[in-house]
Amino acid sequence: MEHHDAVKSMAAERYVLGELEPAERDAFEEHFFDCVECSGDVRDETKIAAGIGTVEALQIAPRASRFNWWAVAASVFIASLATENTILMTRGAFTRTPPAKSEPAGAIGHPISFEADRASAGVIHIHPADSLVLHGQIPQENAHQPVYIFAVRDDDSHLTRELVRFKELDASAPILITIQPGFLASGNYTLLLRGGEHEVALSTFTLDVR
Amino acid sequence: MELFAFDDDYVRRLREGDRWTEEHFLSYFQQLLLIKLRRRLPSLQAIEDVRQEVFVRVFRTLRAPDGGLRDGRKLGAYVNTVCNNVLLEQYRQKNRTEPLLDVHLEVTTSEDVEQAMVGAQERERVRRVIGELPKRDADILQALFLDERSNDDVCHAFGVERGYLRVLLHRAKEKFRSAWTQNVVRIGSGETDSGKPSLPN
Repeated sequence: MEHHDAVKSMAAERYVLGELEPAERDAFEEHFFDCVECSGDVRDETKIAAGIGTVEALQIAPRASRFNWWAVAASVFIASLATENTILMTRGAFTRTPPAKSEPAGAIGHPISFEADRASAGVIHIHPADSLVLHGQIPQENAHQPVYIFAVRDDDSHLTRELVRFKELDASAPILITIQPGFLASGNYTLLLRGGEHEVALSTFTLDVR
Repeated sequence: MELFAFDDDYVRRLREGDRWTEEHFLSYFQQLLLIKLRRRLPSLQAIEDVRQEVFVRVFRTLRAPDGGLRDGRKLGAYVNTVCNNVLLEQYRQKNRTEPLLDVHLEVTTSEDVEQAMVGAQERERVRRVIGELPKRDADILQALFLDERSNDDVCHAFGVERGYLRVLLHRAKEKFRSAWTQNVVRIGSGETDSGKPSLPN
């Protein structure tokens, strides 16, 4: 589907209204994934729907109970960019408690890259409903360990929390760790990697949740 | 969301692990994949699984020794194709004996999905902007997005034909967009919800 065809046929409106035939819908999706204008149209409508839903919801439930995010059990999704087997293995290592229906789920990640230079990621401002994404690679000098453990140390309380444990990891492949909203509160943190007998600090960051 | 065209340079930065390009890529396609998948999968968990798999495959291709994608302008279409392949594989795995027709894969839009797309602060802002729209436009949007009435019912309520309903939606959306921009300018302190300058609304 060409852009002028999408505009002329009001494809974005028909997509949102569920009026497109499957073939037409597939063609429009193929188009809007590449077209910032049409994807903006579709995103706006989803945004409107979310806002209108909020109007209704606020009339039903007090805001305090609706956004009681911190009571939600922490959940961590792990995805290794290494192999499918690794992904399945690591997902199995976690129990996810899904948020209650009225609680917002974070969608957009805020990536913290653990680079080879292990520099500070600075201050990361996030909304309570946002996820936090850690991504990077195992430092080469730490490769070939049977088990890798990613953990975050709260530099204020000096408590360390394990994020994920990898076994048989392809250490040459990039790793992506998505931390769901509510798992970490505001504070100063150090991302740690333990492999074998060694522990290295991959990155430091300050998290500002508000 | 900053809008800029995909090209070979964008793909090169993505391949090389440029932080801001990765952030843009993830933000942009997380939303689009959610919009696409919400019509085909029954839960946020199922959507999240497919999204993660799509990102895994795309990054694996882009960072392959041969460079993967040949034309950076087709990055979006490529992500969409990968998503279609993942979905197809998933359907085949789950339905080896009797393939599902497309109509069977449609699922009802859930409030959770909208909430997953838009943060609480932004929803507040949307609510305020909708409150500033002319009543008819706000009513149209509410009827279509909240009341879950059929399109025919909405047409009947507003005394319009089906084709004109799209026009009304288009106009209401344009007014929303205009008011939204004004709202952002008024609110704008140079910070986005995330506090990062790279993702202006």
